[in-house]
Amino acid sequence: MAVPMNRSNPQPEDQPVIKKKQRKLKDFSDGSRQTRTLLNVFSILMGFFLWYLITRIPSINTFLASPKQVYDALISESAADGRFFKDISISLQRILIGFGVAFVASIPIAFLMGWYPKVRSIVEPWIQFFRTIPPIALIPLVILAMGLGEMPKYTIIFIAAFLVMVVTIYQGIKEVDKTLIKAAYTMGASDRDIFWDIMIPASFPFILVGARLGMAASLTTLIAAELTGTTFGLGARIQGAQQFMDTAIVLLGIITIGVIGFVLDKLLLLVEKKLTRWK
Amino acid sequence: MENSIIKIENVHKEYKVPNGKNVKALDDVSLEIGKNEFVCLVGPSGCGKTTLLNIVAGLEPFDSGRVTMHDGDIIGPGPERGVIFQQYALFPWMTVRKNIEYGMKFLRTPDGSIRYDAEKKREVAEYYIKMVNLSGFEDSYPKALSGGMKQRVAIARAYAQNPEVLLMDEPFGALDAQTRAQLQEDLLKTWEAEKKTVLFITHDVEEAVLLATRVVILSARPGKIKEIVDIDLSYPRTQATKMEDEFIKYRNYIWDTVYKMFLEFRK
Repeated sequence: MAVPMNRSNPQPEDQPVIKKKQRKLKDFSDGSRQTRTLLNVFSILMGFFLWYLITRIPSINTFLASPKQVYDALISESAADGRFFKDISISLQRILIGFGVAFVASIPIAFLMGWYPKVRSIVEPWIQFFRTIPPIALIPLVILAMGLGEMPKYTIIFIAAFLVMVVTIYQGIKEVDKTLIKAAYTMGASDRDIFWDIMIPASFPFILVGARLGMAASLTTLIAAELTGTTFGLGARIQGAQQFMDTAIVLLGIITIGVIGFVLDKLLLLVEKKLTRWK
Repeated sequence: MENSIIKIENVHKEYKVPNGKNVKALDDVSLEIGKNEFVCLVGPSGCGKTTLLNIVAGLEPFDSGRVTMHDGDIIGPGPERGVIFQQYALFPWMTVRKNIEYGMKFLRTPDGSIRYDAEKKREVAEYYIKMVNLSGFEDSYPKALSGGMKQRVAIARAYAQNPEVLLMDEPFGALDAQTRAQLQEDLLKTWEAEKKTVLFITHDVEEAVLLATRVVILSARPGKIKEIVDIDLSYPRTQATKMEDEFIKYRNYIWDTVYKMFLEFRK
């Protein structure tokens, strides 16, 4: 490479230096734990307060119940003759069965896809195709095929959770560090050893991420599934309350779904932390 | 060559490049590695150093030629040839101890039974943890270790399998200068205490001269053996060896040869 000698510097030589205050650069850390918690709590309280304020306006109160009304609904619904807990338990049951079966089924399928390219080529187009269809669109078909019992709900949730989990777990298996596999081979590991000792633990974090995404998908789909053709469940309760303009019950249902989702996600997060401490 | 363990004879290897000319990675490479030799492979990047090491490791096939260990063809990887990678390749879900113990489960006695029980594995791991100065970190996970410590775990893990041959692919390439100097000395000490046959890849000429009994210079594209230089420097070698005139002579000679090839290649 030729370096031009004695080139004239294209930049002016005497640029003025102006001393100013030390510049403060953006801090990308999360800040202190205390500040975070404080702001979280403040934000939630403010949310409730705003909610309370706008429901003071009568025209808004007709379609949006106030915090007090929702609280009253919670009390009356959880009374012995209320149906609150029955709705929760039936919805939870649907989620856990649909999700559970999907979880158990998705892991071996994802591993088969990751391990055998031929299985991948056979299965992948179907998964990619069904992934683009909202499971809710399948509800009419599933109901026609299975009637109005519990089975169609399990099936819809299963489909939603299964697709999300299979794709996530399979992606994870594909991303397992190939050097680890090479290293194990050089130690004398067989394909079987590689599968059990390397692939499974290495893709564990992805299994847990898949489970969280699958759980979120189950919840979303469940509510949609319950909007038609069932009397019990949180989705059905919301739907029913809407017909009686009982917005307190509607809101109670919505909040309950949010809380269930939050708790389930935190539970999975806890499992993840416990099981992948090495990460 | 007498006592040769690894024989590489007329090995050719091409990489298929989709819609392009195939790249000749290795062109008629022949090399014998004797018992307890420390052979360093140097050469400009893209000269097929790693390919050659992978072939000896049994991780990559080749097109023609022969690669043998004790006159038996190398047809795949095996615990008699331990490999140490630049990126450490520690299993992140295993503690230091478990990492070192892991490979021992594949060791067999001549009659085919498992060589070490759990207790013996632990004992061997303990010994090598001490050897690489990692006592106190037995139960740490790799994420808690520095790069230098990780590589020491990898070295202990390879030694724990007691391989006859160690294949090291730029093991210190990702480390800072001080850590690298320290690990070079540690490796020299370990090698002198427990002799192994080593094939070591590096692009650092100083490192090659400091460690090796022989330096093999590869040329780039196609990867061919350009020259083999015997390093007649006495052991024990330390960082101070780098100040000796003889050392500097070797280093300059090899560096010139490699750099000339590099310039040639860039044209």
